[in-house]
Amino acid sequence: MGSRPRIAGRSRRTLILLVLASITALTLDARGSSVVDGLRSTIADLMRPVTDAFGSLFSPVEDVWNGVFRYNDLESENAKLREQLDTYKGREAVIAGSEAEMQRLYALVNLPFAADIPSSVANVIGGRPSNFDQTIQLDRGSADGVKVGYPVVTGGGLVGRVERVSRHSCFVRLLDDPAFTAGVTIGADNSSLLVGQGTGQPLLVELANKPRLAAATDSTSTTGPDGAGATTTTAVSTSIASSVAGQGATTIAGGGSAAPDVTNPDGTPVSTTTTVPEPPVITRGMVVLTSGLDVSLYPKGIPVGTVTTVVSPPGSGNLAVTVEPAVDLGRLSVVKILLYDPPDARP
Amino acid sequence: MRSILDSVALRTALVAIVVLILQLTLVPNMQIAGASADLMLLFALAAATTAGPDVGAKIAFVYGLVFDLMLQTPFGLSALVYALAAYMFGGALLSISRTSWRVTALSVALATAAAVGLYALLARVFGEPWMTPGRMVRVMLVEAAFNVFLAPIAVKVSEWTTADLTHRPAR
Repeated sequence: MGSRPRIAGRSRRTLILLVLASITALTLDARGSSVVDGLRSTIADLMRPVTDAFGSLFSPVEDVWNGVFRYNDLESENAKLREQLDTYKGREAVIAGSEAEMQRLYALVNLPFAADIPSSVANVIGGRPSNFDQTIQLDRGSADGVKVGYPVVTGGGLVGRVERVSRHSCFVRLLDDPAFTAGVTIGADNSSLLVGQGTGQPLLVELANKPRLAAATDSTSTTGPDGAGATTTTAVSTSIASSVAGQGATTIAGGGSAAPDVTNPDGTPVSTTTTVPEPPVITRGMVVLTSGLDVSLYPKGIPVGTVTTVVSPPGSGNLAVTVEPAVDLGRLSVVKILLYDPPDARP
Repeated sequence: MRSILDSVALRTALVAIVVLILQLTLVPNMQIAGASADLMLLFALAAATTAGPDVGAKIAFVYGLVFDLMLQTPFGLSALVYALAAYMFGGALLSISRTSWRVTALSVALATAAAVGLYALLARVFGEPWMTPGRMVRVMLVEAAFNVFLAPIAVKVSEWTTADLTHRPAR
């Protein structure tokens, strides 16, 4: 950019007009203008064959690019895959037996093994167009029965949800987008919220039942040595440091300095012990599934990823759980759209 | 006989469509550390280089608006950011008396990083989720590197796009 501009025009009026035009467009979009939606849908449909054709043309570029910039990654990935293959070959027989057991377990907890959800297979015709827009474009639209909010999956697990639909294509917000959220299950905890953090970043789970500095009031019934019942209300304040695996149930002992003096008729202090439910135990490698609760947009049991880190930051009672997506979101070519209406959206 | 491409507006529209197609189909395949180039921003800055801040901002606005049609971010956000970035960048170039390639490369990198920061800030204002600081830095660095590398090509194209304007005698 070494050439000098020969026109030195610098008009504030032009800039003000452009800013006003932009703000008008932003306002129209924020108010859900059908003009903006219609224009975007029309352009998406018009561009679909073009992006489809050029996408196919440029797809080998990705292999070359990865070969240049991700050579070491690919090499280590290859070695890892070979190792995994050997492991899985040895476990083949075990897996066959496990499948039968898993079927029984699914039946026990009343989970459908294969939900009868109609689906539509779609090709990815557009990747992430910008660093601020973690969406991909698929070649299925409203003409194929696709609606906003439908989950998108691969054989590996959840990919994202349909964000916008035109007649012959749709845009899917990927699960690593910061605007993506989903109710998930980790182990015994089934009411946590998963949020994306951007491309290349692990997903983050906000635990609903996270341990924290809690002030609880427990009503406890105790019996003194003389057999007389004594009902006491004990204010208990405790700190639950972490729920990382290895910890047992948390026992809260009352009768300390903060507790009121409660004594038996003979003057001995009443000992009150209350066991409160331990927060969910979460360990590295645990599988994260969609929770499928009533308000969830996703059916129950879709794999989302595996827990990679469980950290309790110093000075905080909260847990930070990061999750590696089950699906490689950078290499999507064919996906499946689940034509799933959440229970509260059904007529 | 005048060619249809004699019009700056038509040449700008043609470049906008071609660059948009490249941005949608080629760029997503070329990621570094989870971030990719922003060709639309690059050509917006190139327009400011060859046509000055005023016309450059108008062309940048068009590029941004065309890009917004294919994005799921608030409609008009790219147009706003590109127009502001082109205006500021074009103005800054005017104030530099001598340009060496080193200075130009640095100014392109800074303008790109500033545009990314401005985009993130305005996106937050308009209700988009906040980008994590680590990712923001990565996006700034990657976009700046791409833009510095591709700037000579973008400027050549932009010189052709704004040929009628740049060959007009300076006032």
